[in-house]
Amino acid sequence: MKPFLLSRPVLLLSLWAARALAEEAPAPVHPAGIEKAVPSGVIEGGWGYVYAAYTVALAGLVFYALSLWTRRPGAQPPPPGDTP
Amino acid sequence: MTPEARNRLVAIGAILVAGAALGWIALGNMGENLVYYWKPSELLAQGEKAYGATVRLGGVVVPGSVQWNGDHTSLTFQVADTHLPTAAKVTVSATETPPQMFREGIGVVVEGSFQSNQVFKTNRLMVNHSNEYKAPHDGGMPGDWKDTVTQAANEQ
Amino acid sequence: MPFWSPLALLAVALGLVITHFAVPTTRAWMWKASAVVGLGALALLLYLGLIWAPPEAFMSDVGRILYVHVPFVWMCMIAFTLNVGCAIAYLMKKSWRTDALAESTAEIGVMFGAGGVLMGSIWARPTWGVWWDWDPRLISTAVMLLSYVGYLAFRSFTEDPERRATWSAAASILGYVSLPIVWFSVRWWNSLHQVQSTSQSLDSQMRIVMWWGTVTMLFFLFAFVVKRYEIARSRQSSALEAPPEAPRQEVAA
Repeated sequence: MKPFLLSRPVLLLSLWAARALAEEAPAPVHPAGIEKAVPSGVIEGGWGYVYAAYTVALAGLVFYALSLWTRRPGAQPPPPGDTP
Repeated sequence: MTPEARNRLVAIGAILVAGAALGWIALGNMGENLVYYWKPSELLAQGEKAYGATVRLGGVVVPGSVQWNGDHTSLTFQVADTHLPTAAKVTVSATETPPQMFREGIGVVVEGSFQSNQVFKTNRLMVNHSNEYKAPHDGGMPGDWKDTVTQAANEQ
Repeated sequence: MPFWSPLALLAVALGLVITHFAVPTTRAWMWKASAVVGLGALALLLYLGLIWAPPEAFMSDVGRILYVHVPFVWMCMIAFTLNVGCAIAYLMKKSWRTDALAESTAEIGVMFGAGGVLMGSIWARPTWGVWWDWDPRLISTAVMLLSYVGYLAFRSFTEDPERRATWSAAASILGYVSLPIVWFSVRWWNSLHQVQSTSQSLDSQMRIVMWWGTVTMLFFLFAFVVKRYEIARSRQSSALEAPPEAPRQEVAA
């Protein structure tokens, strides 16, 4: 059986989460406003991280439930040649 | 030996080995061998031996010690063992943009090396926050954060 | 949190599992009820965690990761504790049921643990400033998860059910050493990861949501354990020629 972690929905979702994170990650060195480089002590924004973490939580539950379903007793193994 | 007796023997053996390993780690002197970061006093106590080696230094950012260079590309600040004014301090020079939570009085862990000019040079600055999670008062900027971090530092 | 709260959670999880096995009439419906209630609780958790709870004073909204990160890691630890209980029970009195339950809890613990570590890493980037650092808590957690991945790998590569059951149980007992180390690592050594929160260090609203998240995940944990157990049982019966109710009695070695 193809490893669950390599299945298409898992890959797509991790790609999406990675993109959300990349958009959120701070630019390497203070771009326009130099004051931006001086931290205020309080995080500004950061919802991308929150959504990414909650996505991981939901994805973990959903995909584990799916993997239990596909492995359920009595489930017919897919006919040979069905998977690429 | 029956399989049942063998299984029980395996259980007892495994539990003994596991208990011994745990006891050794918990009660042994692993704390001295496994050091994630040094406090300023511990670093200073090393004397000249501390120069040059890549280590981590952890402590509290001394209030009033944070200084940026002209174009805000590097900063220096002091790291102290605790919030007490008498605590041992080490000056840190950082070239990395610190995390947004960096502020005076917060815990930090910096990775780098202690130079012979008594400055700790780092390019990896991490914020070491406490286990406190509080809502900001009046929904605005927290005004009493100094109390919070003092409390956190005293707990350590 | 009071020191006994993880033990109380463990007791609830244990109670659900024992009820499921001891009271046959609950087997058909209890896991379903658990899953349905879990789904409802999950929907409410999203509302509580993302909207109802206040932002944190310094972490702002990033602090909301607390409500999924901590429950996941706690479920991981509860699953591994059930696992070691099954391992000891199997070695004391052979039973394919405890062996199957051990397999089930180990896999679910790895799933929750991996999720918890991933969320922790996402949380660490904006707060600590790094995705990962080799501090005692993170090292010990990585070692713990890897040891259970090894446990599962051993199980899937070992053909003989008897050998698999006995030696994976021994591995489970040895691997469980990592769990108290993970728990106490933040107290035994200085680390980047903060120590466990207490009732005083957590605002009441945040505490409510964290507990809500924990209870939500407990419902899922139970439903998952039941379903994964059934998979393990059906694999056992196809692996053993004899009816799998009792382990085959070997001649004295």
